[in-house]
Amino acid sequence: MKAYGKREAAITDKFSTQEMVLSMGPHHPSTHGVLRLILQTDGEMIVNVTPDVGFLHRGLEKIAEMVPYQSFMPFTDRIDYLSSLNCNLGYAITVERLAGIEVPEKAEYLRVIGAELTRMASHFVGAGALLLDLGAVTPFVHALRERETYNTLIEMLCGARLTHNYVRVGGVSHDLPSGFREEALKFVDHIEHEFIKEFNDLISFNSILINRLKDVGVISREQAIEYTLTGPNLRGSGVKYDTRRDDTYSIYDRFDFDIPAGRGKFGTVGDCYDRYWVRIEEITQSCRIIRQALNQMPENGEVRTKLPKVLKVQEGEIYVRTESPRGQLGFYLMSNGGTRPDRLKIKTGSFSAMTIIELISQGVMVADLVAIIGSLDIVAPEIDR
Amino acid sequence: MVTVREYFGNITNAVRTTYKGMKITLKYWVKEPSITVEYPDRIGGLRSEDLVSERFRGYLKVETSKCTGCLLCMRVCPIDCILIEVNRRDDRRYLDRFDIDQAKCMYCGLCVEECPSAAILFSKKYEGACYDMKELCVSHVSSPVPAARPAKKEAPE
Amino acid sequence: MIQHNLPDMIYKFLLGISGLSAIPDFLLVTASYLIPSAAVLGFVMFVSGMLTYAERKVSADIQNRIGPNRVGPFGLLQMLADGVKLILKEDIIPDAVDRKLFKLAPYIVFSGTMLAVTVVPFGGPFIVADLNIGLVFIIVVSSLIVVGFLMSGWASNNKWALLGGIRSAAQIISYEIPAALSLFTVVLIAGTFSMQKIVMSQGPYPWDWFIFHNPFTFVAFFIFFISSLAEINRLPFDFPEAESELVSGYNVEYSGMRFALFFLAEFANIFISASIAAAVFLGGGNIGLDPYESGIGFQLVMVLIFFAKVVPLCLVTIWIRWTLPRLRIDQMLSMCWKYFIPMSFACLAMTAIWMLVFNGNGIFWRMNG
Repeated sequence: MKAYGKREAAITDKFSTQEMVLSMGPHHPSTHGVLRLILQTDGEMIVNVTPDVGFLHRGLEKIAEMVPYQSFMPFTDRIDYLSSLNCNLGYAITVERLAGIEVPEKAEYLRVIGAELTRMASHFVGAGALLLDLGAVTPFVHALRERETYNTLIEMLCGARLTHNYVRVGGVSHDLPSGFREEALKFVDHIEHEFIKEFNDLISFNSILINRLKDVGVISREQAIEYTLTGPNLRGSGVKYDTRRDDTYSIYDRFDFDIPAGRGKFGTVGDCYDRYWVRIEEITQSCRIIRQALNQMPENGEVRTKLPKVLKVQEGEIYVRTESPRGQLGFYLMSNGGTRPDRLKIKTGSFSAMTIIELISQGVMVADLVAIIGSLDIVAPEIDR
Repeated sequence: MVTVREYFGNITNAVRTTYKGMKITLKYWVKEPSITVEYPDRIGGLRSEDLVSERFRGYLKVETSKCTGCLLCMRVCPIDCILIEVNRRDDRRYLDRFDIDQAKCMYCGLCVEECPSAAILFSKKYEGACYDMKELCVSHVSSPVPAARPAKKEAPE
Repeated sequence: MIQHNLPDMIYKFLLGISGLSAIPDFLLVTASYLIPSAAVLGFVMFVSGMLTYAERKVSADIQNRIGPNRVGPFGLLQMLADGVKLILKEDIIPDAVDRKLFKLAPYIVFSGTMLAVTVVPFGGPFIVADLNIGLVFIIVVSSLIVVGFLMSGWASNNKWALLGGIRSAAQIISYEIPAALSLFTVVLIAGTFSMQKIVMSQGPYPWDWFIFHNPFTFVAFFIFFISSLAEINRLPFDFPEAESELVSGYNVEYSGMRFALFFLAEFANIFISASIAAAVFLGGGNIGLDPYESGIGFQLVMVLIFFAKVVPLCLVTIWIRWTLPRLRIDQMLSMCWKYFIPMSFACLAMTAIWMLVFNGNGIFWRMNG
């Protein structure tokens, strides 16, 4: 500032501006964890965004090579702490498919119930955090209040509130506790019939929110496919693709549910509002799946196949895709016939979602960038693993 | 261009949606009770253990009288927070050491599931604040304890 | 009619006590101005402290929480605990800041706020200075705040703070216009800028208030209320300190007591904008009696009436904050220039026409004389 003295100021007769480099994060309230974005801004308008990731790298893929197959399960909780059960499920299915392990009927139902409950809870945080970034604190707290009920339910089921570690290779760890079915049905009814309606009246249809989100951060159908977006972000762009239906795993083919897709509810197809709205609709769909699963589930039965203490998986490799709340969660597992994985590669939805920030935030404002990050529902540990 | 209808439509729309939202917040303001649990000192005379569910995964507890010293828990632990030393003296196996580092433990429950004699279990205790990290490394064996004899294997079906 | 004001009354009172003792006259004059100023300053600090409590409690109620309940009965003394904490905190001045401006900025914000209090009629004779340009004075000194915001944003040498300062300048300057224009609708009716006279020309009952004088003042009241939200950086318009966008905006580098000054000024501003709305549109502390000649009992009732109008307005301000999301800066400006300014101009013009056509009479009441 001092170098720019009075003389230079007098000589430049034109009012010239300079681009400013802003470091958004790693400690910024709306980067959802430790994500750093290097912004080049012209005042409030963003010229360029460069994501800088790696702050949360924990080397999970390397750890997988050092522990037995079953013992890696607790680490999958840490891939995405908001939907740990879905990550458990993805890993368990990968190992089961490679080792050819049969899963008992009841365990499959328990897995689906847990995974869908977790999907709902994750969307509560995903949608709530977006609203929090836009300045609406109350809806976020209301969403977290419902997540609290979910936490209590899942604590009844497996004893932990955040890192569930519920799914095991070949089943699940615990059977249904007494009273869980009634509680879960009550929760699902409350969400579907009361909470979602109230939440929408409170915030989703608020004209300020609609104006903030519509026509912002538009991802076209082609761009979404090109950048390998998955999950709600892909569906927000109007692509009706859901791994649960199109590449079905577990017992998802037995349930009747819709796949919500963005259709430009208030603005263009693929804008921030569409992605937000897909999440809200997915909560209702998850409610439907849980209700069906609870009703169809057999009363008695094993929840876990007997497996050797130290599992040996025959040589081979496999890639398994599952649908986590943040998009497709892929596990690529390579085995050399030993007790430990030879290589485990984890592909997450947040990573591809993060790559598209650079494309869609050209020429938006700083406030819009916050909305874009929120609507992509990026969880920083999932990017780095 | 913004038509006149759109112009006034925007105004009425903003007023209507704001009114709806404020009605809901007003309902919460005057009617809905708080759901906060005033942990730790105002929880209605309950102990902190009573707040959690039956299957809660808290501190690990070890019944050394049941432990057979099979070391399964030690092997299955993904982060090696269990350390057991078993030595053979006078035809008996003795547990000389059974340490669990609760600071490292991630409460995954793999050891509890593996244990054949249910000697290692979860307690409901979760309040572990202390001034020294070393206090979190719990020794379950102070003087050598004879290891329990493993139960007879069930007859193969 | 005798020109009344509070310092004169205090001066006479002090003269009565001291009698013909040796206290020099200039001391009495100074005291008669200092006493009400200090009293109002302390009172407004107290009120803004209570407003922080109210904000936390209301937000807690809305969000199924409890809010402060540990310090004192119902947590009422929470503001004392907060104040002690802020005073005891280390006052950090970062190395790269412009030290003079950095230190000066909070005082400018704070004094801009407190200057506005001097012309707020608290009901009865309790107004520090009944200036004949009171309303204009309020508009002028409350724009002084923007200098402080801009100064702190610039002096912090922090890009987020700079953005916050620039935003606040754009915002406050734009919203001054609709706020001032909607206040002037009332000036057209009352024919004076003096706050006390505006209050006195209304009546005790709702149909005597200026808000119900004609449909345009009714609209002007809401325009004023919303643009005052923007002027005091409350939530649908809290751009200068949007914590999820600009981290904390202009005050990001401040800590300790300097931060507390910003904080107090923000909450004092809620009170001031609510009391202007109450005095100008809702009849203030008017109970139909002369504020100066009636007894002390009636005067206190006037103060109570005034606060009975101000407190709900403050609560509404807080209630709005915990309901709505934030606008975007360009939407906020277009809302101001496309909606509020034309509407407030229309209200002003239509009120003028109304005054001509109906000879100054309102819907419910007739101008006396």
